Amino acid sequence: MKEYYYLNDRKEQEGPVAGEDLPRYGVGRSTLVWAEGMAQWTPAGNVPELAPLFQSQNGGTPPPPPAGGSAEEKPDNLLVWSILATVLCCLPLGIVAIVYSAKVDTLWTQGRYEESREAASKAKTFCLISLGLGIVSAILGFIFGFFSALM
Amino acid sequence: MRKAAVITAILLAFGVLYAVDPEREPFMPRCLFHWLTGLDCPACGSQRALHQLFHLHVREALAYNPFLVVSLPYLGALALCRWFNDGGRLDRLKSMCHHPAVIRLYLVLLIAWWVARNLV
Ligand SMILES: [Zn+2]
Repeated sequence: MKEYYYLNDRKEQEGPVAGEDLPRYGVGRSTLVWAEGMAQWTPAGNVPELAPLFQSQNGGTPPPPPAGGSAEEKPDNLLVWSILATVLCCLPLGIVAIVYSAKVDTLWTQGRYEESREAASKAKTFCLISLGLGIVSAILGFIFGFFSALM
Repeated sequence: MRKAAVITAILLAFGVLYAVDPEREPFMPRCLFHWLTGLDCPACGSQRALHQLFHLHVREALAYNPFLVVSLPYLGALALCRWFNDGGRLDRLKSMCHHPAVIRLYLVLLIAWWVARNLV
């Protein structure tokens, strides 16, 4: 592909950059570009060589929104684990996990899918921390017991 | 596969708690919160309470940690609809247990219990 000059938002000349790289520099379908051999500045979408790069921005009907959000399954709220962590791991951290678990469903029903997923991953993090500390206390308990048995 | 591993781990832990009385054996896990602060966490005593429960000593279990005894049915219900809800038979129980008001109530009770046990 040829090298093109283009006009930025302030109508200043920029470039040259390789034609295929134009979209990465913020060049859109209607941005004016020029290359050697062209009579005048032309919208990039009207340059035959560049037109395919802007196929997806060709106005008309927008493509359907990505199949995310509601179509996806609700994240697991991990409530069982949060409560298990609270009553068994002997650590108040589980409470934080329960709070986040509770948020997962509430946010999901409000259609705030991204936040819901975040709450789910936070609940998971706190469950794992709780579990980790639970294992640490198990080991500590064992060591304490071992030494007190020796003395 | 993972489900089987988790259930095995839980059953194993229950088995140990059945066989060993944490009150007498020093080898059992310590509560880091109690060790660091000297205060009781909401779960302190739950190992001892479980041990007593496994031997059907409900009154002793309640003395160690009444909140655990109250939590167990809820926990059981949650576990049921988490792992044994094949074909959506337990969907009604699930939506009940996961209802925001229920979870909030549980949290309030939990924190009230935590505060109360350290004041008394
Ligand atoms: Zn504790």
